[in-house]
Amino acid sequence: MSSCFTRSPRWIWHAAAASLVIASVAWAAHTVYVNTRYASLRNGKSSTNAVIEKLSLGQPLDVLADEGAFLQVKLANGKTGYIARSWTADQQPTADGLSAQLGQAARSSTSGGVSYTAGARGLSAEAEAFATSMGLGDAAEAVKKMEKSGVSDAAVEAFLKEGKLADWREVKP
Amino acid sequence: MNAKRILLSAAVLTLAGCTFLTAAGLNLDVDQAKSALVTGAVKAGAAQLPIGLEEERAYGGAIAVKIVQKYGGLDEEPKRLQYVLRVGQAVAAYSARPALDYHFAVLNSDSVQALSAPGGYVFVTRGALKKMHSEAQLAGVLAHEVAHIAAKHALGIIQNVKSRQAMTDAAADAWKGAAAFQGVIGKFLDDYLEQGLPQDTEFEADRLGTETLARVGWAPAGLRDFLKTLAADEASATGDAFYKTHPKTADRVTKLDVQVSGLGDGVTNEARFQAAIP
Repeated sequence: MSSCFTRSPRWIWHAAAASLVIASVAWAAHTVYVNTRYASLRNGKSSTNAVIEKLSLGQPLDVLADEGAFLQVKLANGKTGYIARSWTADQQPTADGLSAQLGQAARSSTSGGVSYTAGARGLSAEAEAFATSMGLGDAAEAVKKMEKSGVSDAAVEAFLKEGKLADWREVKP
Repeated sequence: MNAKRILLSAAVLTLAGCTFLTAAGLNLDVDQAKSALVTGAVKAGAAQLPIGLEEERAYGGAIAVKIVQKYGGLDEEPKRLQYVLRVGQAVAAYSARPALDYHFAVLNSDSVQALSAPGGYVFVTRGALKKMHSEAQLAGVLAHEVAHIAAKHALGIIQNVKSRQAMTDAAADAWKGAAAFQGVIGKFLDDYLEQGLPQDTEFEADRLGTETLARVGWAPAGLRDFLKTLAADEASATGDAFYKTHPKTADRVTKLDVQVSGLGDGVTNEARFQAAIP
């Protein structure tokens, strides 16, 4: 009884110290990921602050401080700044999985890889065979044309800016 | 059920395979019975595996082909198309599945309809565009369709069709061959192109789409307001494809009224919409 009594405080202190170390390591390693194609690192907690660097979809960010609607983050290149919390997710977005941001309907990704580019697109051999067998050659050509009807990221970003959307929405005082 | 569990089930079934297949009227010896059961289980197991991205794009591409044919091809009027592409890509970039490549198109049809197919294909008819009054409404409709893709609503149904085909079509030699692919697509199109997706998935797409509107800064009421316009026409146009393939419009509006009331405001960008889609 007495030995247990005398040993317990030391054990508790050791456990508490270990917990603190683990907690600090976990905080230092807290990483979020950019979950939109049009996000920027800014020099302040407002979308009107200057852009330090454009960020890319899926880019990892080390969180330095949680400041409500904004996170103070550090990039792999050492630059620090702010990003709207809305443009981040705890999980890296994948082409065949959901971002965690709109999590109510989220399902787990079934892919181990991360792919942000289309790679070789076009109708698959199976889809082509389906179109041929159904006599839908013209429609298949139209879908191929649809796949090529792209719009550049710069054009979409300019469109968002002109429309006062996303990072360019007006903040009411 | 995963593939390992199915294979384990097959191993157990194999012990009684001879009796089972004899009772089923098949004239197989024990080795043939075992082989048939294991082959069937492998096919069923493969059918239970989650559909990967390339397979999703293959199914989606085939469905997109059928949609384009059914709705009279593409409307390629440049100003209208470029505008829809910009709104669509902006919606997609802030959706729940932003890393997928999306493709948007206007369908050459005066009926009111918007559709999507797995793999990132999104369509809106010229007739639907004529019924809209603002960019927020267009964004809401496209966000609804993107949400179907992001939440894999149609893909879930295709997965189920695949599973059923594997269980009942034990004679198919090449599970991933063209015949099997076309069988799955044919069944999906027969069941859902005319009837639409299950109602719960439509409501979920409404909710997710409206979340996207609010996130980007469009008026969260965009989709709700478009549906209100359609609700006024519903009594006289129940035969239109849109009404046949979606839940009762008034029910959707009621649910969105509740959601929108808690989401603040945003821009409608009516002038920009009217300039692009007069």
